[in-house]
Amino acid sequence: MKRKGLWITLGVILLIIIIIVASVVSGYNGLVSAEEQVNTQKSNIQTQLQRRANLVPNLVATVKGYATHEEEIFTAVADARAKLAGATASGDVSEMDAANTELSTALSRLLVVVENYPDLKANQNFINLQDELAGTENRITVARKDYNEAAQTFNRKVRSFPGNIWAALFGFESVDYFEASDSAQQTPTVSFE
Amino acid sequence: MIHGRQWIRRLICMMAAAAFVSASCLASAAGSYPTPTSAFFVNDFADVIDQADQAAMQQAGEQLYNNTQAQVVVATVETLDGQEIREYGIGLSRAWKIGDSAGNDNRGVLLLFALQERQVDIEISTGLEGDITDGRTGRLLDEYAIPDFREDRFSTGLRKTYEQLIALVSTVCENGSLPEEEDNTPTARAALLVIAGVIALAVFLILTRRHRGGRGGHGGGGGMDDVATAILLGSLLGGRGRGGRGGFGGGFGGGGFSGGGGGFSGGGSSRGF
Repeated sequence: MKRKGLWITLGVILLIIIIIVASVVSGYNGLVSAEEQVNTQKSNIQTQLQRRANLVPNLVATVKGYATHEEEIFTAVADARAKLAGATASGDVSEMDAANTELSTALSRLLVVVENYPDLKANQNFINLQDELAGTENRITVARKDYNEAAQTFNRKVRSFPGNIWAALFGFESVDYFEASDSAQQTPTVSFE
Repeated sequence: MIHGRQWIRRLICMMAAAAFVSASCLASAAGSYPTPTSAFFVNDFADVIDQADQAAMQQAGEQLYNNTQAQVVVATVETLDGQEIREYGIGLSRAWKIGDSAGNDNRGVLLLFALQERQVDIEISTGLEGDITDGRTGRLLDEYAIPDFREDRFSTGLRKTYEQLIALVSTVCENGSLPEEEDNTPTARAALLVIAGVIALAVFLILTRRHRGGRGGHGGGGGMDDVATAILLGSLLGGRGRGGRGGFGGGFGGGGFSGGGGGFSGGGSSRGF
């Protein structure tokens, strides 16, 4: 009789251990896969930001062929581009965010200048670059949205119970959102009125 | 200190509220797309394509699909309901899972036409965007769509553009110059994690069961194990279910993660006319 009682106690303890282990394992794996999703989406953003930074010099070179006396704007664009390239390499979300917005501002000034040169606007190479750039900006918008959704899922797991226990235990921290200003969110549409 | 805590709490509440609002916005945005017609390749909701062109496009679309598994879909809508055309385009492509059927490597194209906004958009899926670049689609719109659209010959413009898209896609598919797909990695990794979890669990269960069996099955022992198994499996499945639903009652249903690895990432270009 005594032995039977011992077995039941052992069984109960084992059961509790199993439950704890299972919930730690599934909680940990859930966090890992959510974080992996965040990282994937972040690298998508980085790829597109890098592509944007790479396209800009070509665009500037084309514009320079027509508009020679706009040095100030070219410098501003070049500076913003360099900053974006640096921020993209660093991988810091808020830095990338700010640099991307700055480049958008500089580019919109450049495109205002372009309005004064009808020949440039009709240039096939320029239109092509504009399309590539607009497409990249659209991809950034999409990647940002996907990243924010992944970040939201991950942050919710990190903050809510019991995920917060495992997060604290294994050192998961909530991630930043990639928020763009309204002006940067508007993907420019190439229009020939 | 108390003040600080209250602040944080308030902040968290606000963030949660914002998250909820954006989630429900997403849900309603995802729900506002029309369902594809039974023809699938031609969806003339704005009623701008004439019968002959519709039939020709549908036939070309089906033929391409039968030959290459790639899907080129045209959709015309009355209005975008205040959305940007590119945003609407990618939402529709993802909602309809264009080019997302098994074994076609994410090869899909959407040609979207908005009557009221007078805008046109081409969305290229990840499997094709390496070959059909944004500059290419922009040029295609300039050459084949815009001249007719300006004269309000929407049907002709759409048919010409559609035929060009079909030609482009079939060339790409025949030459086989498609770049390596890397979009499947996140799904594959997640699947591996789940499988690894299941295997580890199974091994664990078998080991514990053997252990118990070796000691000579005592009365309640077996039942205990079954209960443990049930709880384990339950918690495992429950955990996975939670991940899929995304917490907010299915708010992310059409959010691109659910499909076969993204599909559309924003390639293509748009024009006003």
